Amino acid sequence: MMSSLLEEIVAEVKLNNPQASAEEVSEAMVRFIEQDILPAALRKMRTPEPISPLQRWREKEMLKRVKKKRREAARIRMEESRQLLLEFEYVKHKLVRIHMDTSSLAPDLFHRDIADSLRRRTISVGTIPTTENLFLKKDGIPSIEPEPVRNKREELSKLMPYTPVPRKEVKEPQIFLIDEIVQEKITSDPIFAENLGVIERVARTYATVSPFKMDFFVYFRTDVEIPDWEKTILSVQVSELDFDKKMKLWDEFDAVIRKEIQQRIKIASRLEKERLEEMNRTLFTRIELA
Amino acid sequence: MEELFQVVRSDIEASVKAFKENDFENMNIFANRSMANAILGEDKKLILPGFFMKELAAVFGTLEARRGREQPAFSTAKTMGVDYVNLLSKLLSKKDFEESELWHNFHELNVKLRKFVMITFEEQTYQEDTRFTRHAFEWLINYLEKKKQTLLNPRNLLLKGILNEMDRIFRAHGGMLLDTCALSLIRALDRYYDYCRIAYGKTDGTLDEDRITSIIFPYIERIRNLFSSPTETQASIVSETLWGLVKGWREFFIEYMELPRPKIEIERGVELPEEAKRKIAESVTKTLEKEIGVRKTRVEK
Repeated sequence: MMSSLLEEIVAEVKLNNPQASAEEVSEAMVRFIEQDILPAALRKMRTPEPISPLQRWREKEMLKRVKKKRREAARIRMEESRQLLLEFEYVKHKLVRIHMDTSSLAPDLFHRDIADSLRRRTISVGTIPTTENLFLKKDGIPSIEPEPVRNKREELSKLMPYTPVPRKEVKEPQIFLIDEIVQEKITSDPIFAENLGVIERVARTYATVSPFKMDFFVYFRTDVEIPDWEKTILSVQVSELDFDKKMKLWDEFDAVIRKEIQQRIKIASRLEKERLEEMNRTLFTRIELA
Repeated sequence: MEELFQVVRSDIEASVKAFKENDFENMNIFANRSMANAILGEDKKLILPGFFMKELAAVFGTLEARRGREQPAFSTAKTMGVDYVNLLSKLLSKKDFEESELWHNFHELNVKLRKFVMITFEEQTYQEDTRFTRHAFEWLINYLEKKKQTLLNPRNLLLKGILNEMDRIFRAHGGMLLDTCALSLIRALDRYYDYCRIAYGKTDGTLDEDRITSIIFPYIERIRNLFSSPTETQASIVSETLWGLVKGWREFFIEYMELPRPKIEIERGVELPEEAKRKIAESVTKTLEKEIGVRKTRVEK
């Protein structure tokens, strides 16, 4: 009678390890599948060719003709499929790298969730130098001074043919730009720097928990009617939001910033209090509506 | 040697460029190189720019990597960092730059940055108190002196513990220039000692006590004396001590290269779901039972 592949493998394992229990044999097989068979299969799997920007544009235009509900469903489906492909490519990329090099590999910022699911924290303790390390080095396997590293994001982008789709948990980090004149003020006025630091911290934290990508730009503006009154403008750029939602976000964001300043005023020293009040008067938040 | 100054200056320029691009890993590497090049000569102050850039790389690397509910004010802090590195580059345009000016600028930056390294709870609660910092630093360095025999224990983390306390106290309460110097010396001593453990470790896992005692203990004594020394000699104590520690550290690097760092090891593979694992275990057990059954039948026959 012909035996199955499983029976053949088990017989082979048992032959070479006569003392092994059924539990040990199955554990060894699971390890073999996890470490060799599955990674090899995944690495060999091919993903469909990415669609061209022209094709994507055509699909988008065609969708405009269908009803809103169907259009939304199609859009979600397309995004999900693109995201799936992106994640799959990423897993493959990680597997290839891990296959080549098992040294420490920090998970990329944008793909923390996937990287975390792949990573198993086997050893994460502070290494105390031991004589073992010494012999390892003396035996001719020294570690080397790290050469200047290449930009990981750049490297990854070459490997990934798909455009990342923004999602709440894989959102790009926000940009916080500071105008040159404001930069000069930061370096010459430590209290201003400290207060602006508080505002930046609150703005960044707000943006981190917000489902939208928010970028910031800080600059000074002089009031036309009162030239001595220098305003600090915190301009916010939010993508993918309609006018009403932007207005709502503006109210909420401004309230969060003001609340933080008010809280600081309560605990500040006299001099700090004056400067914080001044900051509160001269600071204007602004959401780019265009 | 004129060439050496130019080489160190190039290393610092590369480090500054990496900093401006938020590439703190390369910034650190170029800073290390500048110190490695500086020890090829005799000019003690040439190690300083690299030492300071390395510190800055660590601060900004930590700020950038900080994740969680609260985001640091990275851009405002970076603006101050850029101002500092520009000043450093300007000072380095002349070979006879003032060592004291370099220390002063570094200290000023540390004082400014500490508020940006703190989390909100700390920032809203702790007040600047340089007198407390001085008291705590003196206490800690005296404690290090008192407990220096611990450094002969191969599993000790005494210097890292002292550094941890000093960093925390400076961050929360600020400090004076001399405190920045003391903190820098302890940091340099810790780096040097890490290599001593490798170089003077015996095959049975213990450390060569005579070597550690003769090499490390005098440095502790020197750092301890820093606070009680006359003001006019403090600068030379700092300069001599830092030079000795950095030189020793870079020389050890030539012998032992990069020390093993704490790292997360990745097991290659794809984890199977529990259900699949269970099914495999069942199939294996069944197959083995069948196998044994066949063998038994054969034996019985």
